[in-house]
Amino acid sequence: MTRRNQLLRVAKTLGLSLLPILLVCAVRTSAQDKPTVPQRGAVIDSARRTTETYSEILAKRRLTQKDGDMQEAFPRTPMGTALARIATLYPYGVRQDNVPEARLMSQDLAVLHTAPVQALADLRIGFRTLLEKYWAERQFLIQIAGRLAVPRETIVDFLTAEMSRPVKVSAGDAADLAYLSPAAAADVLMAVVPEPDQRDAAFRRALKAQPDGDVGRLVLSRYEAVDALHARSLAAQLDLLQR
Amino acid sequence: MRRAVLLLCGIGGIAMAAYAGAPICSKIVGSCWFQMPSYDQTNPNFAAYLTPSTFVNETNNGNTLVPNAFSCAAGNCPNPFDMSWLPYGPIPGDPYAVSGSGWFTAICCPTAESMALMGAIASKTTTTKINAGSWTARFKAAHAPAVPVGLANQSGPIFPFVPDPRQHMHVADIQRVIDMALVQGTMPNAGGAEDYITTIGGDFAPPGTGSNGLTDNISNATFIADIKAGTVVVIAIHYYIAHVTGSGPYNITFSSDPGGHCLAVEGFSSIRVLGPPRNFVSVALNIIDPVYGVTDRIDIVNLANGTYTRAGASRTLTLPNGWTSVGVWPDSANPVNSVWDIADQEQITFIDEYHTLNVP
Repeated sequence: MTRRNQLLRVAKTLGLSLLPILLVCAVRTSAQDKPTVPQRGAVIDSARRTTETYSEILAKRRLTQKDGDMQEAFPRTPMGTALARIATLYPYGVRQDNVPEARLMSQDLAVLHTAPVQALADLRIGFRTLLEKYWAERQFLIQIAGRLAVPRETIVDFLTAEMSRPVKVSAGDAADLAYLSPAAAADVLMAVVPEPDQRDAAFRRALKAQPDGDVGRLVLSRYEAVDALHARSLAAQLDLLQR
Repeated sequence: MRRAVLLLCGIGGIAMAAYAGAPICSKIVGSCWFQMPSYDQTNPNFAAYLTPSTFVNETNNGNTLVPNAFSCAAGNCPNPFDMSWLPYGPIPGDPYAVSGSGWFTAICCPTAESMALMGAIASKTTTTKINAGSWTARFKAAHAPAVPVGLANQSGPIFPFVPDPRQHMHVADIQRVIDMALVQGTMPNAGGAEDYITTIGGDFAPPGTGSNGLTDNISNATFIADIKAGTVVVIAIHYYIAHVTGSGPYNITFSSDPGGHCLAVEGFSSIRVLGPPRNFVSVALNIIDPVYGVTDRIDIVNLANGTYTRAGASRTLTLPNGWTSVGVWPDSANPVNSVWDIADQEQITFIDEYHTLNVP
């Protein structure tokens, strides 16, 4: 990568108009210098300061169909509405330059924490009919659910259900990673259940209910990343060692 | 070709590698990963510390201030956080958040690099040392880099340290991200460089190797080869607008759309599904997003230059920046799995920067 290209790419990453940042960066002797002070002169693109409405974002991002799909899946309650909007705005709302989308998503995420038990209940309702093509949104929401302040048994029940859910393994579409949703739930389970015996019990319950052995192995591999001894022992007991 | 590459990366053959600084690899499936923390650039504690005086000077230098995020008249809203590392203040719902606010901070790159560097340190062999007094030694120890900068001696805290509402970041983790931001000149309202980890190989003995990798033709295989070799990776994605012109044959070109994002690569998962009708290997990259510290799982589809025909229709794709092929960040609402999925004026996200550090 040439130095000029490097600077261009840095500038683009920042969400900035290129000219001002290039003028600023030009004073640097190398992109790999160790400056002792932050660089000066960068400004935020003024076009990105305006606050767009949710409807305007839907039009701009061509998300109208997705919004409809999400509204169809999630209950028409305050929590369900917030969940539908969060799912619709994913991944745009987790990009720092997308100020309007990030703002709206963060506000909806905050709504979930005002009634976390209801939020999780509405999430489970929505997951029943959420279209499989929205697997990335499901995996994101599983992680969000893991942060809700709900009784431990409630979230563990939700996560083990996700870990054992039948999923499609798409031989014809490598980009379809729906089969990794149970593994995503396993990651969250380990974050909310630190005790080895309880964690082991939850994995055992989920894996016994998971109908696909290949998916079960993927779930176990996430356990292995945190506690290899327990995971491999469980794999041997459930006949899920690598084949 | 792609299938062949995946098969070469096959499940059965993956075992703990003999080389030094290896990642951890599964004995159950074909997955490898680094022990990498999940850092969150929206951690409220970033709002508690003001950036160094140089940043204050910056805002007084006639340049645009961090835009006011609050629901009141522009310029008339007190914002105690606008010179902090989280310039709109804590995000909605977090402690000390201002009602009606949103969030903004451009520290995704140092956040991603800090995760990656922690992963590299965790995976190094016991015989590899971090040179005493080096920048990396101070980073690992979470020392403030130098007076007057650094968390410990910056202005603040505006509010006491609060528990991490999303990940498990402690004071030391906040300090590490700020250290990384300071050393490469990242400003919380405007960003900065994104490749400092490529420069610090000399902080290790024996030395590590950093690289600004390909911007062209980044694929699943690129990641898997590096991860298996014990190389941590930070990527950047950027946004491009597609232009579909002509009336058949159609030409597809792209122009840059401002903005981008840095992410850290934790590892990959692969699954070998045998027996009809499933007899294939599927691969997913596990990528930690500095926003909320969530993990994304993606499979990269590549677009390549060329002329494509289907049912009498023809489309010629020409990538920007002289690229011959580029990886596409997936989008469920408007998926781009081939040249036929591209619509005029559609924004597409390309994975086009690749920064690495290999520590033996």
